[in-house]
Amino acid sequence: MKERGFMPFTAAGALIVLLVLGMISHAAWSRHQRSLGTVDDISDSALLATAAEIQGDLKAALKYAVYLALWEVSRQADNYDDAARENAIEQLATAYFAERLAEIGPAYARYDARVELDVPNSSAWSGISLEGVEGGYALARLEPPEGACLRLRSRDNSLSLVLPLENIEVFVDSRYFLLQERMDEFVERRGDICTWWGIMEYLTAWGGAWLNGNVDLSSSRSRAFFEAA
Amino acid sequence: MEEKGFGYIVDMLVFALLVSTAILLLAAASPTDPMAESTRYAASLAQSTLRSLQNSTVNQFGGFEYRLGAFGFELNIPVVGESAKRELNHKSLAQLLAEDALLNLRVEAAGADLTLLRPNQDMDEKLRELLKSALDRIIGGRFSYRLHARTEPINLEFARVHFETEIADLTQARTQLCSETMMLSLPASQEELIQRIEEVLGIDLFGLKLEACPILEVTLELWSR
Repeated sequence: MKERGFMPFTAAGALIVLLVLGMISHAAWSRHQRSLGTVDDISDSALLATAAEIQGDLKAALKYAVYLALWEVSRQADNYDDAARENAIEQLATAYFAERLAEIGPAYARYDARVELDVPNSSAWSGISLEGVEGGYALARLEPPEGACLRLRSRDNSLSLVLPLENIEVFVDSRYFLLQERMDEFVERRGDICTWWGIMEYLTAWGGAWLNGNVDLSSSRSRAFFEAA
Repeated sequence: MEEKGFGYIVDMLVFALLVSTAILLLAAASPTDPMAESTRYAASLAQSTLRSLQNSTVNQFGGFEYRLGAFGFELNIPVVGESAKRELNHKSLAQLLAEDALLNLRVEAAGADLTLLRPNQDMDEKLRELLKSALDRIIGGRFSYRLHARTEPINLEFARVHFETEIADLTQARTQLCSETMMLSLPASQEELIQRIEEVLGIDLFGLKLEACPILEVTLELWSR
């Protein structure tokens, strides 16, 4: 057997170990790169999440502005007709929301330097519109003025987002429209109620007078007649 | 000839040893970093959880109600009847947390919490239970967690007014994977917040020129188990 030209097994083994070490160092390098990518991914998705959270918070602020306007206007509800009352609520809610935005914009920036809320002067606001939805609840819709936007940037300034604020819409869990409808029905039927209530009271009183010789007045019976009317 | 045979055997043994070493090295090396993967997943889950607290209504977690009370006692007298009961089923969990912060401000003097008349104290306790059950359902046992909500403290000469609450399940916690923060605006302007503090303390703070930040900071940490 001719031995010249053959490689010893040890040399082949050493070669295999060197190859494996090369593969492992390459895998470690790729893993490191991927980890860096993961950190960037997490930071970018955190920025997007912050944007979504701030948009959600603005919706909550709009809801509170509507609550407050509903409370203020409804305390003097009989000073308005339906349309004027709704209009007053919308105007007041718009003013409250604009005032609120002017305050929370700087507060966001103070808490998180990555966030900047850019809102033009409140005089350019088109106003909140209220709409009745199922169950007599309200839906508030606001079209912020052109140029209103939310600016965010990552801590290393590698990513910057400018999200325009448009069409903020929020469900308001106040049954304002149901109450308005019921009040309208009540006011419309108020004349009928008085007539029917009066008739029932008279009939009972006359009936009592003829049958017993006296008239008994009872508050619980009157209430029952009123409710029946 | 015998010596040559011995040399071959040693050569093969060294070869076998080197191949085994190579296999062991390959087995130990993993192309992915399991810690980075679980951190990415945890961060994404924490962000989604915070958003679901902001967007889910209390109805979706079984409803929420509490009764007004004083010094930890419920108002159960017949005159009050049902008017002391508050049902807040259409509000979101984040909305309730912001309202709780405003209604249950804490006053600390000389490092100790002062016991004050807090009619909505029951809300604080019931909301913590509700948030715990909501977080248990959303996170579903995949991680341990700690939800921490706090406002910036307002430091007066004699006291410190703030809100702070924590809901946690860290029984099997090992390593902290992520910490995500959400800002919530309190349902009150700076002026209303100062008025609220005046109500809580029962004094006039007109001359103090206080600055109150109407933001509630909510942080969710996820920990591996």
